[in-house]
Amino acid sequence: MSKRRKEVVASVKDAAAMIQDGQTVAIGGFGADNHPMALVREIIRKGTKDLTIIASATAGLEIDLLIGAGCVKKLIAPYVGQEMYCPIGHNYRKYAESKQIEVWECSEYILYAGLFAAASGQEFFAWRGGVGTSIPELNPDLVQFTDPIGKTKKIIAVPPLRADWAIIHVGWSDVYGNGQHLGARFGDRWLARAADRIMTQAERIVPNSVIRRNPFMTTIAYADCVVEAPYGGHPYAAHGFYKEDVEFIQDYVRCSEANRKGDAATWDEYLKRHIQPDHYAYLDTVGIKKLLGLYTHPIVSW
Amino acid sequence: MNTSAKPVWTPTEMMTIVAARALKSSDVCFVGIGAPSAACNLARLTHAPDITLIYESGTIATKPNVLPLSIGDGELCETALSTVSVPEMFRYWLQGGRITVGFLGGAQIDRFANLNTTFVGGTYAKPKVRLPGGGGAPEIATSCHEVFIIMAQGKRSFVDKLDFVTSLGHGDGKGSRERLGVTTKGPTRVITDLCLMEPDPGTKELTVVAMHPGVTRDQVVDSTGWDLKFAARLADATPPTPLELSVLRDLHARTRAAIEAQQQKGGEA
Repeated sequence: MSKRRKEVVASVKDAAAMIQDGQTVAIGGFGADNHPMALVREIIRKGTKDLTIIASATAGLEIDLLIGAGCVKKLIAPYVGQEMYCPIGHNYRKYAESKQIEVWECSEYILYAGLFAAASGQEFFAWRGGVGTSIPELNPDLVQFTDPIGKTKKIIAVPPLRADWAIIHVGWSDVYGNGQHLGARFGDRWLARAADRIMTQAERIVPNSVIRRNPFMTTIAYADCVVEAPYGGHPYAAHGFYKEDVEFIQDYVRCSEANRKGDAATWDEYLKRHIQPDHYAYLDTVGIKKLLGLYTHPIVSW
Repeated sequence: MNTSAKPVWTPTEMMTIVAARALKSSDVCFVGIGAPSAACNLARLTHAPDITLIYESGTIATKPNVLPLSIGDGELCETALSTVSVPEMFRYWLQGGRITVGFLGGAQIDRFANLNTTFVGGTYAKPKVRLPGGGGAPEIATSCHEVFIIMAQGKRSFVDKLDFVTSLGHGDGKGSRERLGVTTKGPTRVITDLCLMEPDPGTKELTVVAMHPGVTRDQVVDSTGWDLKFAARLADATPPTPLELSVLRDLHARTRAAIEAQQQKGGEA
């Protein structure tokens, strides 16, 4: 396959429009860090429906937001919450308890094992975590078997988890879709490799020479589409750029909890406040002082 | 014990301190956010300065100055020796057998230290309360050399029967792990806000081996959903030392101050 250099920059709007109703989308980041929020908000604004979401192994409230906005049909995730902020996502709980979403039960590495199987074109990946639990009993896609070599250990066969799209936050990228993380990579490269197509959201678009200067840091090569979205991870942290917005996340937790408890008006008002016509209108609602107050020194010296 | 005197520490502080005391400098510890993170860093800042703390976000030998609210926090990466990818952490460090102690908690625990973090009440198809899910706990439970469980004790959480087994403890008793080919020890301590339990060597059923200062046997029994066993001779409970308390409180105070400083910098939202 020839890989001629091709510019793949798109607007947030055009990029999110490539994701169709009913598709499977893997979303990168981890906990309260490095989530591609500008793209997530645009998916919500556009009203994309019936998505199957493959979340990062510690999915944060970015997934909870998508669920609460009615975009999700099926969720593949071992955890949805924000730890000390909110041990369990309120919309996730509301939708799972009322069966408005289907949950594919797994553990963190069962998720990665499925991504590995998809990424490497293999029928399954074997993993020991989860044996002796209810997980393989209640997730019919998982098959527990006895190690065919040593013949003593129980192991779980995890089938491929393939996505149509992976949407991944990177620190920066060139216009050809070659991106670099400027901090932890979490499981992003595995989410990306298990997807047919990769969409990255970069804090900055930089010249190709910047990428070439340190190829060891290139984490996503040949993304199919890249968008530039400064502060595009807000309210979550972006490694190398800014910390998470504690107050903003606490407000999310309050409003989503209200929704779980039946106060749909508070939740609708929350969505109205935060799902703005475009990314820059969103940043306006956050405010320049707030945004610059989140700035942190770069983790990585480049 | 004079129960009328007001204790100068909280049950949660006592739980954290007892957990910290169980750790050694030579341990390689898989840490979760919350009480485990406080306990592990307390150990690091007191009697176990060389302990290797590993967070599932991929950070190895991290030395956070404050306690992060969330697992991917830059504070953990910036103070680490190395930050690997999350899959590498699970494959090569965890299932590769390089982690000595894993910390777990849960919404429910049973007498064999199996844990539930998936749902409570109703059925799986129609749960009363959906919980966050397995996270990394199912593999921590099978791959760390041993597991310490830390959770507040109560009748709703210490139950006779789990609604869902999310993480394997000792299954239905001695021999369960072996039958599955799981060769690690599993849970060796359950540390609560009332007492310390350990699995009985003969049956693997959790047995109270020490009670925290000022806690009565009735309190422990009334906070457990099964007929709880006590060791014939309970160990002496050592109250928190002034050093343990001051280091733990400083850690929490630094954490609060860091959050407040960031919010003030951001001004009015």
